[in-house]
Amino acid sequence: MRKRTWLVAFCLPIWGCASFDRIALRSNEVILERGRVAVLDEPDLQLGRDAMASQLKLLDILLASDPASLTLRRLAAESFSGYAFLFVEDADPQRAKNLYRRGRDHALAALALSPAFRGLPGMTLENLEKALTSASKKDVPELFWAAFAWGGVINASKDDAAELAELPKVAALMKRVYALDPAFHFGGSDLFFGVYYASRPPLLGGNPAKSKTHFDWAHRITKGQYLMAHVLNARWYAVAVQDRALFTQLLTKVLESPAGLLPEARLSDEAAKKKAAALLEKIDDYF
Amino acid sequence: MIISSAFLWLALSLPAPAQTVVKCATLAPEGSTWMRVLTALSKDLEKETGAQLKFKFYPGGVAGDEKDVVKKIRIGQLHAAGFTGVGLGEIAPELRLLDAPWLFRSRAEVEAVRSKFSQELNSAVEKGGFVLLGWTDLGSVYVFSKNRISAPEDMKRAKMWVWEGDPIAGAAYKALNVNPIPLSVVDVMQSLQTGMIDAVYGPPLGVIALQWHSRLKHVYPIPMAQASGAMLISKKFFDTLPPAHAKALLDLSGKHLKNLNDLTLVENEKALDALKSQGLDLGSGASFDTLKTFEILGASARRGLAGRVFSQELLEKFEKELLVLRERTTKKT
Repeated sequence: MRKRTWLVAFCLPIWGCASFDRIALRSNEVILERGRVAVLDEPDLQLGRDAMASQLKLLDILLASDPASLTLRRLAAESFSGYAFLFVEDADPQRAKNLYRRGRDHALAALALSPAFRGLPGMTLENLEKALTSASKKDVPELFWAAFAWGGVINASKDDAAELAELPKVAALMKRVYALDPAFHFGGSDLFFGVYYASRPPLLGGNPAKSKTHFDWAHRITKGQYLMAHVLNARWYAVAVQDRALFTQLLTKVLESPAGLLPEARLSDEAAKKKAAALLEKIDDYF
Repeated sequence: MIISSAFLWLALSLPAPAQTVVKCATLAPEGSTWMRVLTALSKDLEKETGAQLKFKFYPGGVAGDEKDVVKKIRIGQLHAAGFTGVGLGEIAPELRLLDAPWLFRSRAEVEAVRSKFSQELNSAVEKGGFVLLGWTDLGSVYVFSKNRISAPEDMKRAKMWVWEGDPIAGAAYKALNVNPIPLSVVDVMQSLQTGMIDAVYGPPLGVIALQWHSRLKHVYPIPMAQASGAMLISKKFFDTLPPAHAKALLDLSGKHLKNLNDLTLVENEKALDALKSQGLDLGSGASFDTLKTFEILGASARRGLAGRVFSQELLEKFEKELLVLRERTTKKT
C-alpha cells in the first residue's frame, strides 16, 4: 500500500509535466495558427520573409515533441512550400528543392495520420488513385501542399529521371484537390494545371489550350486580384505560346495593381511584384 | 606620343564588332541536362570568339514542333536546332538509316558506323540545306506494354501504337506481322487510358517525360533500335560565319555534344531503373534464338525501307561494316 502511494506520488509529477507539455504545445498551435495570418498579411517583403524563416525552425522543434499534430503538420507543409516558392526558388533552385521536399514530407505525414493515406508515395499510380477516392474536403490542405511541394521538387529536378517519374502521382493528388475544392488557396489547383500544361511542349504532353483554360478559371475564382496568378500565367503560358505582348501586359498589371486585396494574400502579392519585375528584366531570354 | 594617342582615339571610337547570335530551338526543357550542356557550349563559344558568336536557345519546344522549326530555319527566323528522327527525316531522310530496326547492337556500333560514313552522312545533311554540328543519342528504343511480352510472337496480340507517319517503326511492325494503330504522340496517353492501345515504343527517358509509364507494366528487354538525333545549323547561315568562328563552332559543338551523349546514356540507364522502381517489370535477357529471329526480322524490315526512306547502297555499306566490326570483336574475345 505504502509502496503504491509512493508510486503514485512519483508518477504524478511526470503525468503532470506531460499534460502540461501538451497544453503548452496546444497553445503554441493556437498562437502559430493565428500568427500564420499575420505573416501572410505582412506588407513588408523582407520582414515577411524573416518571420516565415524563423517559423520554419520553430515548427520543426514543436513537431519533434508532437509529431502527430495535424495542425502543426499542415502549418509546416504550407510554410516550407510557401517559403521555397516565394523566396528561394528563383535565386537558388537546389536549396528550394530541399525545402520543397521537407514541405512535401510534412504534408504526406499529415495525410498519413489517416490510415487510408499511409504510404501514398510508395504506391503505384493505380493504388494511389484508388486510395484517394476516399479523400474528402477536409483533407484538401494536405493534398494540395503535398502536390504543390512535390511539383516544386520535380520542377527543380529536370535532369533526374527518378524524380520525373513521380509526376503522374503529383498530378493525381492535385486532381483530387481540383475535384474536392477548386477554390482552395486562390484557385491553386487551376494554377498548378495551368503551369503543368504550359511547362512542356505539346509533343511531350503539354497543352497550351488547357493551360489557358486553367489560368482563366483561376483568375475567375480570385476576380483577378491574386497577383501571383498573373505572374505564373506570364511565366508559363505566355512563354509557351511565345506571346511577348501578353507577357508584358500581365506583368505590368501586377506591378501596377494594389497588393493585399484578398485576405492572406498580401505577402504573396508583394513577392509577385518582385518576381514580375525580375521577369520583365529577363524578357529577352524568354522571347 | 601624339601619334600614339591618335591611334588610341581611333581604336576607342571604332564600333565593337557586332555579335552574331545563333538562334537555336530544342524540345529539351530548361533545367534539363541537355540545356546545361548547351549553355556550357554557348559560353565556351563566346569565350573562344571574343564574345562575337553565341547561342540563344528556345528550349521546351516553344519554337514549335520539329516541322515548324525546319520551316522557321528555312526562312531565317531560326538558325539551328536539336532534331529527333522526325526532323532529320524532313531534312535528310537518308539519316533515318541510323534508326533502322534491329541494326545496331550497341552505342559503340552506332558511333563506329557514324564515324566511318561521316562523309556520306554529312553530304546528306548538306543536301538538305544544313550543316551537322553533332549527333545526339536519344537512347535505345524499347517496347513498353500493359501485358507481358516474352517473345516476338506476343507482340501480335498487343494493341501496338505506331507514331503516324513513322516509316521506321511501321516497317519493324510489318516484319513482325503486327498491325499497329497509328496515332499522333499527343493522343497516346488518352488511348492508353481508354485501352485503345496497350503497347508503345520509345527511349526510357522519353517515356518518362511523356508520363506513359504510369499506364504501363512491362518493358521488353531487346531494344528495337538506337534512336539518333542531331544538332543541325542552316548551311546558308553557317556559310556567312568567318572561317575561324565556323571552326570554333564545329569543334566546340562536337566536344560538348559528345559529352551530352555520355550523359544521356547514363540518364537512360537511370530512367530504366526509375521505371523498375515505379513497378514496371523489365523482362529477362533474350535467348540466342530470339536474337537470331530479330536479326532476320531486322534485315527484312530494312529491305522494306531501302529505296523508300534511305538508299539500298548506304544500307549495304552499313551492314557490311557491322559484319566486319563484329568479326573483329569476336576475334578479340
